[in-house]
Amino acid sequence: MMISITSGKGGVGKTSLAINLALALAQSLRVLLVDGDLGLANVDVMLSLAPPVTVKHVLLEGRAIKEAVVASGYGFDILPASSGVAELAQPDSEMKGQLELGLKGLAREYDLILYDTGAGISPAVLWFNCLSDYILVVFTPEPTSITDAYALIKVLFRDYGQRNFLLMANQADEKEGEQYFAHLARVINRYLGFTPQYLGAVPKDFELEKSIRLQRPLLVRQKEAKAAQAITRLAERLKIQLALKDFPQAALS
Amino acid sequence: MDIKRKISEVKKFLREQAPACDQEILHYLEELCQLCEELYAQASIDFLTGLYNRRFFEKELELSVERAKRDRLIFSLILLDLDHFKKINDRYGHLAGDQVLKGVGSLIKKSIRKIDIPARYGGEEFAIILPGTGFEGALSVAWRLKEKISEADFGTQPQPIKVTASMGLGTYRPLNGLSPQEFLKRIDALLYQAKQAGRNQIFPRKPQQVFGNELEGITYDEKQALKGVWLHDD
Repeated sequence: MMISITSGKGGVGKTSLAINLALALAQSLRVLLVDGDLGLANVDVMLSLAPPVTVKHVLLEGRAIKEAVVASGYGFDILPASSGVAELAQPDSEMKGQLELGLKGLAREYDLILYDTGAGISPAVLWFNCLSDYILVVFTPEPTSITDAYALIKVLFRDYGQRNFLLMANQADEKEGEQYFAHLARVINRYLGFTPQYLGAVPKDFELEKSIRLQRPLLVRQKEAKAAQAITRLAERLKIQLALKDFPQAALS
Repeated sequence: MDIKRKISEVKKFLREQAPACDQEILHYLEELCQLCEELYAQASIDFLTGLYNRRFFEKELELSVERAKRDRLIFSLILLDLDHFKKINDRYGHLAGDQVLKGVGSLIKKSIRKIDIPARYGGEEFAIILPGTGFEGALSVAWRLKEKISEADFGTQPQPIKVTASMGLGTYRPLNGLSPQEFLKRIDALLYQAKQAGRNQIFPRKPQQVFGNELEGITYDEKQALKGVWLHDD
């Protein structure tokens, strides 16, 4: 199973949500988090890792994709990208083919692969989304974020035939999240002709911001925080929605 | 057939076989390869403007469509036609006309990225393929070109020659499934509309269209509908 986490607009908290979701899901599943922002890595920075081998080495120097996979230290694995590598920001078809092959190979060893895509709507972002079984679209309750989320969904649906969308509100309380989702869903239904699913909301939480600065996941630092509890609930809901079965060994290791 | 690739395959084969070959024959074969490459390059260039020629453009358009379908990519196409070009030829002579074509060619080259493919499509018609570029990006290139061309003076002192251009443009999306010919025909129809609308124009230019981002436009209606989120709480 592959799920992409994407948003259209940047700065909506995509990467920290991805990390914490991966952490929550890794309680019972074998999870690989892929840093999909190939040219401008984020995940390793957020976790203060310094991976020696990254996707760059795989795509440009022919290293095996497995060599690049590192343990996050929080129960899930990471396929790190590298920062400031311009040729990876817009991978060509050969690189994409190679990456797709590698990822499909890795998929056999994990219950779930999460793609943390870059911001925007670049070919690389679209590509990761098209590779996924489900597309988790993160939005915040502000006009630009909603508009960009809609634009991304529109392109993915109309031009690429994607329709497995799960929407998720960030920095919004439960009621707010539902309201905004309902409206967005109405517009999607009216103009694109299908209904997306809703996963839920993660409230604005000072502890989450603090975690980013401290480079330690919220779920590890402050399990009781509002946002942490919400993320844990959403992870459970995600598992049910996708009918993901717990992997017994993962819980043990 | 991909001639360029074929030639490089032959070259690779020759290099591999080099030790076992008669060196003189090898030398001539390598030279032959080089000549083929040069010939190929010349066969794809329009001599007057230095842009690609129509044949190369048509092939490249076909490849772009294939790539778009395979790699889930988009690209844009601009068709540009100089307005009242015949009058320039009539009034100033064909040499001056050639001068204008050359000038426009170099303006086009200067206004686009390295990955874009500029071609002289016909007499005074030009085409530009913009890989990985959505409608908004293509539109901004078109506007830039329109401005530069109308500002430029293609004559020589003391005889200035001014010219304007009409353009049609569009974005190829893999899912609309058009063939290269159909796509080209649509853009050509837009160019025709621009001419009909009085020349020196770019089509389409629907004012009610708001473009949310670089790759894709959302319509005015959609934007209004999305706005509703902030207008009423329900």
